[in-house]
Amino acid sequence: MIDPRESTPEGDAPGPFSEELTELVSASLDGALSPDEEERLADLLAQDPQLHAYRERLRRVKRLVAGSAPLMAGAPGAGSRQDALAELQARLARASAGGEPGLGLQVKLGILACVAGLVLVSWQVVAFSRRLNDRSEAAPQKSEVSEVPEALPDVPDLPEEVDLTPPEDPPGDAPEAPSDPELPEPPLPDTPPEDPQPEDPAPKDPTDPSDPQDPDDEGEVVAEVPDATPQPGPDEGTRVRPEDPTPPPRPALDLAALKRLVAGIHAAATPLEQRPSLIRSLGDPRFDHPLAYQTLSAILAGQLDRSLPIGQVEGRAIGPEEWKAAARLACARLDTALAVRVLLDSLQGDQTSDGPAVEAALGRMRAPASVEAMAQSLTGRTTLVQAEAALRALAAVGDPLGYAAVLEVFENDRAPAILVRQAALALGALGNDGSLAPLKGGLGDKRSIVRAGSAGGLGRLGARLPDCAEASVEALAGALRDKEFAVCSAAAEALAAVGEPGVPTLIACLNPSQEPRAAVRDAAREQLWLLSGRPLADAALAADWWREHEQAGIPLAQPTAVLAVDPDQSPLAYAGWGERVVFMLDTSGSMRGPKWTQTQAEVRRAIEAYAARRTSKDRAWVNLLAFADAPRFVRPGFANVASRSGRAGVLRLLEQLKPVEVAQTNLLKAMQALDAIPEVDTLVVFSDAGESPAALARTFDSVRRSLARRPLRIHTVWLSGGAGPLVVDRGAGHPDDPAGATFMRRLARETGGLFVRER
Amino acid sequence: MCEFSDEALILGCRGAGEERARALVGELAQRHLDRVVGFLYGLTGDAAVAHDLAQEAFVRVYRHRERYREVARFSTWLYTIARNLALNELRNRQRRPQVYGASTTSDPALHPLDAAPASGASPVEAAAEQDLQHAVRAAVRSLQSPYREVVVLCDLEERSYAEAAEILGVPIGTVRSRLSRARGRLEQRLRPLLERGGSA
Repeated sequence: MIDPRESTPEGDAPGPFSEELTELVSASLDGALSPDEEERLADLLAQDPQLHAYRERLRRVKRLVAGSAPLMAGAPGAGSRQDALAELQARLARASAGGEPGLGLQVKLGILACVAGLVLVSWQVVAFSRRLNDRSEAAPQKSEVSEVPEALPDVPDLPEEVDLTPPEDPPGDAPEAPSDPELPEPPLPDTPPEDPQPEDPAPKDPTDPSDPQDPDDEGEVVAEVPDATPQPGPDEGTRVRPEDPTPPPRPALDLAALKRLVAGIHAAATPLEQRPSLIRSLGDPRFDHPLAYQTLSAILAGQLDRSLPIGQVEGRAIGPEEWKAAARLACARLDTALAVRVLLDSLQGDQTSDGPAVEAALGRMRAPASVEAMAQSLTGRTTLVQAEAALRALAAVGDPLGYAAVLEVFENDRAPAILVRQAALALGALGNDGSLAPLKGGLGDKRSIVRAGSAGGLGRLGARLPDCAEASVEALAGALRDKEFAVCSAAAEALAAVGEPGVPTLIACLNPSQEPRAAVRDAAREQLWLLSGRPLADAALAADWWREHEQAGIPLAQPTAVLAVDPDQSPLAYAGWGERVVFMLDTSGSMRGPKWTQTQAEVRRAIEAYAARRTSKDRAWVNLLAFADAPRFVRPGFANVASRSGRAGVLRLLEQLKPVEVAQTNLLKAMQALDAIPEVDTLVVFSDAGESPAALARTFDSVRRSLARRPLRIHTVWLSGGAGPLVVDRGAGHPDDPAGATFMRRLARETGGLFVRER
Repeated sequence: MCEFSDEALILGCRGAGEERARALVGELAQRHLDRVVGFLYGLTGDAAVAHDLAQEAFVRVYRHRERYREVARFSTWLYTIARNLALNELRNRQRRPQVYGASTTSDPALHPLDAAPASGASPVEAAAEQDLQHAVRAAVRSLQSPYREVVVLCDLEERSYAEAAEILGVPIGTVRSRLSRARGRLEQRLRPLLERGGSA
């Protein structure tokens, strides 16, 4: 216990407080305290008003210092920014052997800007040429491509060579052929038969996170079955890819049509709504040519963003995001090694929020050359984001061709934990019995993220290969005893994924004598609830259900998509709770009225349900994080809601919370606020997710990044009107779902949590 | 060109010709120059020196472009270079005689006519605001270098403890404790203002 009056030598700790205490106070301003420290500080602040006043003064100091940030502006004697940059260029020129100090500054700047632009353009072209040469074997149909890499037509010049008249009718936007004979035919008839997506001449791009009609990031069709229980595939148990039937011949290259198409894409006069259709048309197999890839790459790199008009058509924004979505779809339809490369290369630098969309596009590719390209990307020089996208895509494709590369990542000691975790999940999805031993070994990894991923992989493997089910269950039973709750939770989910063989282990886990940790029992109970559709409160009830089920001799049904909940109970009453839970409550203006009333009522019921599942000896730490423009923890520390006083205190604070009329939703900042508290194992988000699709995509990506550092389970409650009863939805969603609902669903699925919505 | 990340640009310098490398470093300067100047101004308290050191930092980036490794963000590397330059400058300044007024005349806070007044503020309020800003900057400048660095990085630059630790080459716990002490000292020095004002 810190004595708040303990002084340290003069100069080290100003004021009457000890150095340790001032450090606590200071760090609290940055949200850099551990939960224990927060609690300790909260106690001390409550006891000592002077300490509280000191903290407020420090807070003001911090604000004052931050307010003096714009130091550069107006600094006398510094000259203009342009002058400074010009001077820098002169210094750089002097620093290099080839400098031209005699030139005027403005002239130099202009020349350098031009040179930089030209260099980068030519750099890209050369890079493409190299890739073409490197991959000529993988894509033999591109023989004529590899002959002309150095002579690629310059895209910006194309409009001068062809008829720039914008098409009357966009190819791909309507089922009928374009009325302009100068434009290429829509690609409908050329679709390869192995393409999993039924062709639609005017598809809503499902690869685009900004598209509210995107049903799923893994490219699944709308289904009632969650992906936690993958269906056995036709190639289950095989180590070798089955012989492919002879691929359908690629249509002949139509370079003239491609040039016209590219010209139409670049023409400023092209109607807004037609440009995405033109870009999608680049996916026509007739356009398997460097010019198409170069154009797609430029679109994905945002190089068209400034030169082309953007706007709205019938209330829908048409601009760079729309173009990128179309470009990703075109890549998926081209389904070649080069298209894989273009997609992966688009995940550069800060564009990481495109990851899910790129994964979805990659996951639609089925051509062996594409799968090999994804696999090769794992063994070559690649970024973390690219490797992660490739791993997820390989898992979605499920082609055994990717197995060796995925296994290599999994067994690479130097690979980052998040990649190893993703590789574990992919190994399970690929359904190769050779994965069993490595995945079992992964349960002993020192990194909890890898152990949790290995458990998930074993669940997928056991579901896919009946011969591996027993061994998987045995290993997962051991994982239930892991010291980390996140691993136990993943093991419970994996046992449910395996199906019947895993159920007895889950039931046994409900028994307190076998599993003393309430949180782990919760995790097992949740899975049994999802499997049976019944709230199986204890081991005896669960055993009865299982006996009935076995006697009936009916195979265990797949979990239903929507679980109706007793209206008197919280929809999260049987959710898996950890030991440290944060309720993240959206207090933006859009939550006012019935939504907020419902939020408060549901949070109260959820906290009471959580507390009811714990004895006073158990840990049930809760805090509330209110967020709108900025997040703030309602309590400085966590409260143990298993105790009556702790629970009452939290509920009292809940009642005092109110939405702020003018505030906007900022989920990203709220999620980032959690990074300071790694001990949190369960998050429950109540929100209408009323942000732009692009902002939601960034948030989703940020959450995925944070999962690399620590496992976190997120239950999401999406509030649309605040009036209807809530249900637990485990389905894959509907194309017409709003962007907010899709985001909340994906957030829950990504982390193994529950998605709750109004009926 | 602006669509490339910082890291892609600096990696693009590897093995590149002099001209191309200059263009790429120029692009990086476009992105970072202002903030680096602000950072250096916070460390040195002298705008002219800050401008000069910022340019030197980019020259160093250019000269040592082959040494950049992807283990760190480019901005972290850049700030580390800038910080080292600032420390050298401060060390040299101690050795050489100080020209009277050299560091203060470049402070925009001492040029109220040049400084942009707060929008909608009366002249009296603007003057009070400038006094306050000046006092804050003076207080920051009066801190010893290790404390000033963390204040500039964490409070001015709003960098995380982890990033500050990486730039300074110290453990995160050291950043936390230094920041606490620095804020404590600033609080002591600014206390009269804090108690008098209330607008802060």
